[in-house]
Amino acid sequence: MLSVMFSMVSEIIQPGKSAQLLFLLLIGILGYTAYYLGTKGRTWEIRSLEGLEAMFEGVGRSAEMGRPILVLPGISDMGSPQTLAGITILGELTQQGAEIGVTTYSSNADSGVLTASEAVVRSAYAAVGKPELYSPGKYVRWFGNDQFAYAVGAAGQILADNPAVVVYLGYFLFDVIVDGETGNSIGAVQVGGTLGSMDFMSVFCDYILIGEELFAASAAISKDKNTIATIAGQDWVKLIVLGILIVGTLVSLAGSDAIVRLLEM
Amino acid sequence: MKMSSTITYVRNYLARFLLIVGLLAALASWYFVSPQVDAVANTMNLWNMNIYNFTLFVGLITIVIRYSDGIRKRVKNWPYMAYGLVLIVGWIIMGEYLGLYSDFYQSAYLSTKITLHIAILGQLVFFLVSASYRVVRIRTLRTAVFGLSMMAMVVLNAPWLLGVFPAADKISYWLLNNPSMAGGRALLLTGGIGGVILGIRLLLGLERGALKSTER
Amino acid sequence: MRIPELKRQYIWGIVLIVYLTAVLVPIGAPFPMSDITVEIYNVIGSLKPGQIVVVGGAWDFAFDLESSAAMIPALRQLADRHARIVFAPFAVESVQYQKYVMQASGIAEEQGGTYKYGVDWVQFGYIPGLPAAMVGFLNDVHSAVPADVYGTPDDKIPLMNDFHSWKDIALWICPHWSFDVVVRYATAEHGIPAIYFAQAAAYSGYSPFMMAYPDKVWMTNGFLGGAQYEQLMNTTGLGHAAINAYYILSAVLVVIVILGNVDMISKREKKEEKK
Repeated sequence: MLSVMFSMVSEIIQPGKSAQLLFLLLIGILGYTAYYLGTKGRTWEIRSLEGLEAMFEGVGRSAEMGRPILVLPGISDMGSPQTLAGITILGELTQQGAEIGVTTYSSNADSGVLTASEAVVRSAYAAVGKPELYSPGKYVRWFGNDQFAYAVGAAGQILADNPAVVVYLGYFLFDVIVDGETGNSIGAVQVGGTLGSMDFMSVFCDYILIGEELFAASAAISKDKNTIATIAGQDWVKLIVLGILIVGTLVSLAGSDAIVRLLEM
Repeated sequence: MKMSSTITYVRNYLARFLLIVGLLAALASWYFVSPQVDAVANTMNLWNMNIYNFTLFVGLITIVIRYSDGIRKRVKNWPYMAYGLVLIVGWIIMGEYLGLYSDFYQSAYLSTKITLHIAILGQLVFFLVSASYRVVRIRTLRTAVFGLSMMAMVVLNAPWLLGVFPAADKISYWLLNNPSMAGGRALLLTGGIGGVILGIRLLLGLERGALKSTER
Repeated sequence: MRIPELKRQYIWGIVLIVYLTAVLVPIGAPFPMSDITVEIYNVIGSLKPGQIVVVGGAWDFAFDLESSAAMIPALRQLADRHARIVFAPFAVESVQYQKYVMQASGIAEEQGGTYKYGVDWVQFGYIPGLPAAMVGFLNDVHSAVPADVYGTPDDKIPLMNDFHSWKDIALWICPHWSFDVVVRYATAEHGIPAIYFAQAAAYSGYSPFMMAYPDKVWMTNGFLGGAQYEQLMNTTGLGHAAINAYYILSAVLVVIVILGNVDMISKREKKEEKK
């Protein structure tokens, strides 16, 4: 019976991807379960994220100094989850800044991200009851799809606009070196979060969001308990992954490749 | 102008519906053996490419409008905007008329954009060295670990050390392929999980962004 | 004596002097040979005449320039082995990069070499849509790229009579950053051996592939790998020049970091004195 089921499954699912599919379904189930528990009143406390608090303090710092905020969502397109997280935070910082008269600028490298950023900024100004302050092209700039055209353009924008806070949240490569050093030269507080170029970001930024903290920040910034509940689901998945790693290591040390074969199923 | 509740509803849920259809088509073609699903996924990819190509024009049109406006109003640095517009139009005409793979176009591209790109890449070392002076300071245990591990990688790969201490590159190889890679993989694993959860938040309409109207 | 704080402009001046010194005074910095680079040399050296080698991938020219240090001598070695070369660019600038390395290697007839275009080597135009384009290319080359970069149809190119799909590829060399796509589709799915002349910044991220496919995937490490390959081919070039510069700069960097810490300590002492 089991072998019949197994052969049916292997006919339907592409070879080597069954474990992946199961894991993806598991993430989805755990994420939704956490959200569902959140809607039923369960709450979770998340630890403070240094980078996120620095962003909130940065809004106040910008107001005191009379300087704007600059948010850079990176060089990737809307297909990257890092860019999506960056745009979410752009909207939130723009809204918070708009409430107290702080301007938030952004630079994009992708035209799709440009369009989304304009929509987010427009929504932010409308949300605080100041839609008349928004005009297309005033807050969001585009310097071309090329990584270094974006880096140089954003560096020029940093020097021209003199922001008090520069926030790098998205997909970055070497361009963060150019912009990071430029931001440092004007004395801006720099907050960074990415998955790939963590090494460069840790050198140039005063505060960093490491790895998944970038995605947790985009949830935590909303202060919505249902959104924060999904972070609990994320942590459950991480615990399962940790368990697999530990068990797999021990099983491999014992000379068996059972876990490896299971994951390659 | 406040959106009507109908438009807001459609805007919220239509986007999510399209997202789910696209997601299922892409995932199904990746995981399942089904020519029919592959055909649907290919069609959706084609639509996706068409939409993406359309957004390429959005950037171009935006730049042309802004630069034209800036030139008309004689804003600060307007001559550079005029120069930029001339270059954009010139390159488009050159590419269309001569062809992307013509020798002239290729030489022009190589001697401008690519040369500038290489030049900027070469400048990165200046920024990195000046940042190292500022950042690699042993104040606390954490900064000591950070700084010393960074300098260890520089020194262990330095040719002058490899000459007198040949085992240095084996140590740096070990450091790169064990603790550094473990950390990098941890970042990727957790980032991947976070990305999937972000996708679930998008589908549930929890994520504030272009998919959710924030107008009240 | 208190050492003054180094402003960033002074540091940039020092780095510029280091660069100029390395350019004007080739110090011939020694460097060790890597077993993996020797293995790559042997893999290419074991190719049979007429076997098809694909040089393909995607990324920006500026980043891939680092790989050219190893790619150029490797092309000369391929010519020594009489392997047939197919350049498959999956990004716009990869076309120019591949043309550049071919020109710099000097193996083509146009540069005084022996390699005849269309018979010994072919250059394709930009193949859009990576990774789907890679899958299409591997499954049916003629459908994926019906003509070369000059617009000549495949059926008019002699080399393409023997190149139809992944079954005809003896080796894939990737001098571009997109090596993960090559491993995923060429090596993992079809068992094609793959060599990556890695950029140093990409090396740590992609070196797990060498562990995952120990007999099918090999990588050199940045300019050092390029210098090693140049040495194996008894030539000098970009790799040697870069190692010369790094020889001095790595020492200068250590000194600069030490000065930074001395500056920090002296400021701290001054603060305590004031108290």
